[in-house]
Amino acid sequence: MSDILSVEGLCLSFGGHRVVDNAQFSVETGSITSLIGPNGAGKTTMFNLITGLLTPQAGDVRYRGETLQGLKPFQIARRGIGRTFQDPRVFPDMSVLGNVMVGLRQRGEGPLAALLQRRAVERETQDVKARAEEALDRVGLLDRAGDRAADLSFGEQRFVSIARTLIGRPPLIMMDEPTVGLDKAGLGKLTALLNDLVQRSGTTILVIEHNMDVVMSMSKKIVLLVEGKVMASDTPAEIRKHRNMVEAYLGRRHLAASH
Amino acid sequence: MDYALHLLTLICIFAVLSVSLDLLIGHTGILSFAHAAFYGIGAYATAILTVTYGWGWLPAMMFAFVLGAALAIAIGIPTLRLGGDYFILALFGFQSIVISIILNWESLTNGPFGIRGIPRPSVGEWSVPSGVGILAFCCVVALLVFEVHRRFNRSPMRAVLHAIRDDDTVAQSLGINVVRTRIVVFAIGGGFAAIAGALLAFYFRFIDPTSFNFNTMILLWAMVFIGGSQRLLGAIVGPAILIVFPELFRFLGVNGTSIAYVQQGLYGLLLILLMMFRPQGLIGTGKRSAG
Amino acid sequence: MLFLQFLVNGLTTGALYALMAVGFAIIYNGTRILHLAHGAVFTFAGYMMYLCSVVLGLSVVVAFLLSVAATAVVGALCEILVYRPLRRAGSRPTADLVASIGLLTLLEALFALVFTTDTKTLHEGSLSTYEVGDIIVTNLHLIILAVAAIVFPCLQLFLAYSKYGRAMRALADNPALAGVLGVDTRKLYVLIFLLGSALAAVAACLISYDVGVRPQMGVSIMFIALVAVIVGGIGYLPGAAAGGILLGLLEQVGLWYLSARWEDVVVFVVLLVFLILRPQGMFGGRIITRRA
Repeated sequence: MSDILSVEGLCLSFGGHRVVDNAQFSVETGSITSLIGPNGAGKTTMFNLITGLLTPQAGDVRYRGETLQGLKPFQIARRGIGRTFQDPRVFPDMSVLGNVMVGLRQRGEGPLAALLQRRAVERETQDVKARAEEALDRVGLLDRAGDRAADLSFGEQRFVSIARTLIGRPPLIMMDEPTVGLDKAGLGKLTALLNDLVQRSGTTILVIEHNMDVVMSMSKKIVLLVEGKVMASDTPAEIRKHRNMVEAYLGRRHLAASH
Repeated sequence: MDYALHLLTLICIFAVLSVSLDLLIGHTGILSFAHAAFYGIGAYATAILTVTYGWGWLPAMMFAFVLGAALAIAIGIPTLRLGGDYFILALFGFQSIVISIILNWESLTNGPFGIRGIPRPSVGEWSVPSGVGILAFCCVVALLVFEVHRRFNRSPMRAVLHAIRDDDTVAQSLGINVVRTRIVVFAIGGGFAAIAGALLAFYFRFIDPTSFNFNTMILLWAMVFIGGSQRLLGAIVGPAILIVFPELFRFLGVNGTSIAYVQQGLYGLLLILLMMFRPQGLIGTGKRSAG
Repeated sequence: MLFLQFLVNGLTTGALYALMAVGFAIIYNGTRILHLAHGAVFTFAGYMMYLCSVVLGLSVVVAFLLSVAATAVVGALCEILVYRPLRRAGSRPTADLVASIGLLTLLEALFALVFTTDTKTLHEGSLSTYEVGDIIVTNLHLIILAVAAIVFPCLQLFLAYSKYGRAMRALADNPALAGVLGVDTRKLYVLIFLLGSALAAVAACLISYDVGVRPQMGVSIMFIALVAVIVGGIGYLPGAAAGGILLGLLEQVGLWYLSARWEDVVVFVVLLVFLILRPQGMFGGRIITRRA
């Protein structure tokens, strides 16, 4: 299997402090890779570097073999890298359906199209709406499509934000702590959804996760990040063998939970 | 009767300003402190082209629109890229230098004395008469601007703008070209403000720098925040209230020289109170209005 | 020496801008409020100075101290009466900006209603001057430079060594820290406004003594101060001071080539140049956006 994404020697410093230090890892196409590490290890910063919100001082990120260097965040998103954030960050006043529809770029969203090609835009919008409903159905929120996003629970908003990313059918989806704030049912729904995305749609997923149960059970590969350095990058079985190291960094309870 | 027509014409002109400022503030979250400047740019472009260079009203008005939009792009490119407070400061500065240039570039603008004798729009020998005629002219132009606004609102563009306003980081991660969209919207807003300036020039047939200063800017903000944004109705109610309301002072007999400052102070107070007690605007229904 | 004369004039103007800029920057860095009403707070100090020294006939030093104290209180009232309630209501980050511009407008209108729009002068006759070699300095030049030489080191000491001063600096680095600094944030915010407004007042008293007071004077000086903050790099106080001095010097050079009425335009061009070429400021700070 080939790698859809590879991070090569990435470095970033803030005011003399190395936040990401010569980081190196890759994400295999059509699998789930987990990025783990203690708080402040630079996991979210890594996401921001990959998606172009931050610019690395050295190193490169390659997506499907091509560098992402110099691309703006929206260009990287259009290349096919979807992303969710630590908080759901839904657009509070839009409907649930509206939120998801924003996730897909349309030709008709420019001012000229709005003025001059109303028919074509309307037809296109119908298609987008169908795809949004499909995405909502996939996260189990189709019955809430008409509700105002702010009125949903935190967990439901999380799934809205995932649907908003899914509608664009990105080959690579990056999720920043998707399980935070989910109850047990939500957790089950999420892991099922992630596995389904990989198996049925061939999507690749890179996830920042603290819940070691989830990490160990679904990941094909685990990347351990500590103080901006990649300390290990291996299968769950191999990571388990390095128990001492992982425990030292993450604390005992994380691994204990996985047995 | 003439007095009522006068107020209606003013409401019409300010509704164009209010709708276009609402497109920036309410829909896209672009907090423009320079809307009065673009209004002035449009008025002066129209006045100078028709009076000094003898252009017809339609080309002059079109040029005003293009100039407003072009200047918005020129100022938007370096500042909207940085976003947030840099843009606010830069626009604050732009507002004051535009007035400064109008006052000081006397050979072009006639400085503080303003420009007189602006011709009314005309077709062949017939020109739009005062009273109902010019009101109707302003209404037609205003309705065109409203229609553009309405079409934007009914297209997917609306959601894109709201996404940028609410969370531009997420908007980018969804593939939205945030900077370019902001610049385009800012240009449209600047162009419409310039159109309103052209209407003002055609209506009064005389313009001077005082119509476009800092106080006008505050008046426009107050209009948008009273109306509560995002509905066309709000964009008309705001101007209607704030145009009619100062006229009450005349009946109350407030001293003429202080009337402007009483008004100005009340607009300031109004903005503070609205922020504290009714951020959604007086007639707005949504939870939020300002970007 | 013409050059030396430029230098002296530029430094004194620059010192005043620096006081104003640092005052604004303390408030902005600490609270992330774009306190545009700072311009009106500045003007208030000028009118206080006028009231105390001309109307009440107090000595200049007493008038100065009273104005600075009263202005600091007015600045703190902006925080207590406007910004704090907005913050507590959890309003959007732009509500404080709108309220601030409202406050600026309201105060300016009040000044115009109370004092009229005529310029109020604070002293009669011309300032006494000294000739040092070829250059001419006024006693006000000397006072301004002396005040700046006292105020800035004191400020530096306060920020470096007092508990609240250090908390202010920590806030400038990371506003999210507000809750974990071990100081009462409400008190800290009030203190920030007291300090920032007092600095504006010092500048205002000195400037009004020179050129008099009018209702709109604060806005144009505040704009220069804002540009000074950007030129120096947002988040870095010595940068704001340096930016103020740079603009003061530049203004003197500008006056040589252009008439004073183009001053705003020159300052705006400086702003645009920095925004295009070096938005992080002279000393390479960060680019700060309202929403991270």
